[in-house]
Amino acid sequence: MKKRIAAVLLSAAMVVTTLAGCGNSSSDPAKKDSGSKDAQAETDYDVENREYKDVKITIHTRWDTGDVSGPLYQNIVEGFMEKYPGIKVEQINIPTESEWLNSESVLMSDKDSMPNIIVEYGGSRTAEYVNSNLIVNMDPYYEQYPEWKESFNSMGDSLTDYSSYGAEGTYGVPFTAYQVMLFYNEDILSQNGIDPASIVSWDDLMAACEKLKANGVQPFEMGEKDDYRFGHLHSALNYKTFGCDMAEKLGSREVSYDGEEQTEIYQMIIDAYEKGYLGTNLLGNDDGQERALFNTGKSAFLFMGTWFCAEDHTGLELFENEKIHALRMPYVNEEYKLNDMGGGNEAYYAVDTGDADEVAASVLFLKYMTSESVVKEFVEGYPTPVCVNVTAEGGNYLSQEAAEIIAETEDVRGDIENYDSATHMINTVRQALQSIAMDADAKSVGKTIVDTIKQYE
Amino acid sequence: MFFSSSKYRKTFLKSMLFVLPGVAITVIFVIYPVINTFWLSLNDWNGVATSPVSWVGLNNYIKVFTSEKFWNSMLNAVYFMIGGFVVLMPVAFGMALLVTSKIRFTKFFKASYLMPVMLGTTAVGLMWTFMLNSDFGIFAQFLRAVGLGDAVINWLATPTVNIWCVVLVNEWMYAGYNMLIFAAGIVAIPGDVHDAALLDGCTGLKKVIYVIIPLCKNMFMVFSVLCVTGCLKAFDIVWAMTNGGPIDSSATPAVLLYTQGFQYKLMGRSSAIGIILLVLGLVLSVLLNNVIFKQDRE
Repeated sequence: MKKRIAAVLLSAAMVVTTLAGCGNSSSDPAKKDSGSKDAQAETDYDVENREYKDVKITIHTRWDTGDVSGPLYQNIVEGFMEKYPGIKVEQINIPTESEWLNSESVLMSDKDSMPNIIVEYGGSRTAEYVNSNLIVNMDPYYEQYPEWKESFNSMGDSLTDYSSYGAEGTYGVPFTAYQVMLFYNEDILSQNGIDPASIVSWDDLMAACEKLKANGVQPFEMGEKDDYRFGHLHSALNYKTFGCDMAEKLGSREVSYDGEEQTEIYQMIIDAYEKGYLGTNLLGNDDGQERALFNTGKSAFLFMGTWFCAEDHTGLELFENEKIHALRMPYVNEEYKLNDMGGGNEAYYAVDTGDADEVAASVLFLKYMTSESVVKEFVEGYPTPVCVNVTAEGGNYLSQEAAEIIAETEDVRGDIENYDSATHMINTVRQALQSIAMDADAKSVGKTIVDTIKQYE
Repeated sequence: MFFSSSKYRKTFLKSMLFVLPGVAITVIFVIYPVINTFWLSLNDWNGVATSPVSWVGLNNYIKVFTSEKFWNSMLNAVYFMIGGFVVLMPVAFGMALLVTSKIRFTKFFKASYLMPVMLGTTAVGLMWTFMLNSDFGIFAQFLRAVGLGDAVINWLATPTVNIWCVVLVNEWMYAGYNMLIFAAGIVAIPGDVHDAALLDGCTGLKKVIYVIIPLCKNMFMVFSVLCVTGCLKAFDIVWAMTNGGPIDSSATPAVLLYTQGFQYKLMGRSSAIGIILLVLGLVLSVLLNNVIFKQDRE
């Protein structure tokens, strides 16, 4: 009997310990809600005139200290902490895209581990956070500081508007912008008798590729090991063939991924792949190697976002001699000549951690980061399009060429898969497109996507 | 009777005090997560802290068992096991024989065999990724230099070939570690057994087959359990070399668990894979213990 009592006592101890573990405040939604409400009740939207004492905020980013932009981002953080000594900014910087996304997912799965600011590309992934009331609505802050709201151009709107996901308000502060373009090596093209000005349509581009290939020159060396490469090509070709509205049509499933329109797009990629235009080691090269090959004259074209213009090209002969130039991505249907893949590249979202001081400090950091003088200094060191209206001097010849192209663009959309409400679509579509580099046909690409959608419904 | 003696009562309470921290740690870090994972496997959750969790019963298990990706990952785990028993075990045992034998330079051998595991998985993975690159990797360059350029393929991007490359790199990395297990068994064999074998004229390969291997049976059991459970949960080397790709062709169940959870945000399905792996690991370990190595204990 006493043994049984001892056993029961021990079991009780175990159960109590278990319950103690279960009773973690972070897993109690009721407690979370009340915390959040408290924070809201205490919210003073005048974040500039608030007193900050030993407030620590964490920012989760893709900043790369080895990149040209790295020290500039560090300057922003240091400048902010100098101006507001009561706030300490801690950084979690993970440059590799997939690792950064995975890390963010892990941190956002528990209220206690959430960073105060996250960087995102918008779309369904961010919409999930917005709809879970984890992202701070910026509207009251913009009402407090109307000049801040007015400082943004329209390029970042797609990153801050979640009305199509059922969320009213403005979420996130857009920062850099981009547009996908066609960069070319002037020397290679002239040596092969190709006039870059003649490349305006997809057919023109394919004809140029045919000529290059016949002369033993590799047109593209895409790094599809990073599966966003075909993902971007798929998005851009969609906008150039059917216009930017295709993003919403695919997102709402009005158009199917195995339908005629999409099969046509897959076939265009497959045709280029089968002729060897897109690369010689598609699954062996990543996007870094793709750029390195282009920068060293191993390929004639590079299909890439305008961030390429801002990268460190020190010591690269082709760049120093201004032999690399930018072209608008060729159209498939002339009607959509000025429709392109692009827009806001990244936005910074303040996370509602339930702590009023942290939320205010996060908003203040974003306000500082997007202030005219800070953005101007950033752009002068890293000449990339931004979502803030600034007139920056400097930049390089390539970024100026890109800016001229952007100025004429009529409509832009980002990654087409992100307009779908299912978060998995970006992985699902990119993985299916990657199978093209493993000889999949157009029908099977579409079928893979549709079958995967069914599996995840 | 137990509690009637104050001496025993004191001893019991004291021992409980010593046991409780261990029990608490096990409950918090093992039992509770397992229970929580099992509960989550019966629900749908997108992995966002404040998002609702909805009950779906066994749906996640049905989805996992009817998924081609899961069975492909299980096949990859089987490749890992085949590699473990066919390549790793003999190599590690052979290395153990070498470092425990009375030859010169055994310290050098020990250090060099252990070097790969000391490098760390990410370093090893990256190193081999570069070596296996079909453009500039050492193998591709060597094959081209000897006129076998046609044999150069994109090893890490070709399904089945890529997982075998990862398996072999894994064996290369862990051979030294497993050598220690077998070496511990070999050095524990009493000297008089070796002397008796020598008197009976049992030397060389005969001695290995009839004396060393039977007396190291427990080490083989330890290796088998570690190998089976390790193969089921293989993650790091796969992630470092291929990320499970292209299109999940080299994904192991653990890689699939991770991607389903943190890329696809299907925490319920990811948890179901976790529970399946746990059960499978337990069943296989028990089977190895009670069926294959039972005779030895009896």
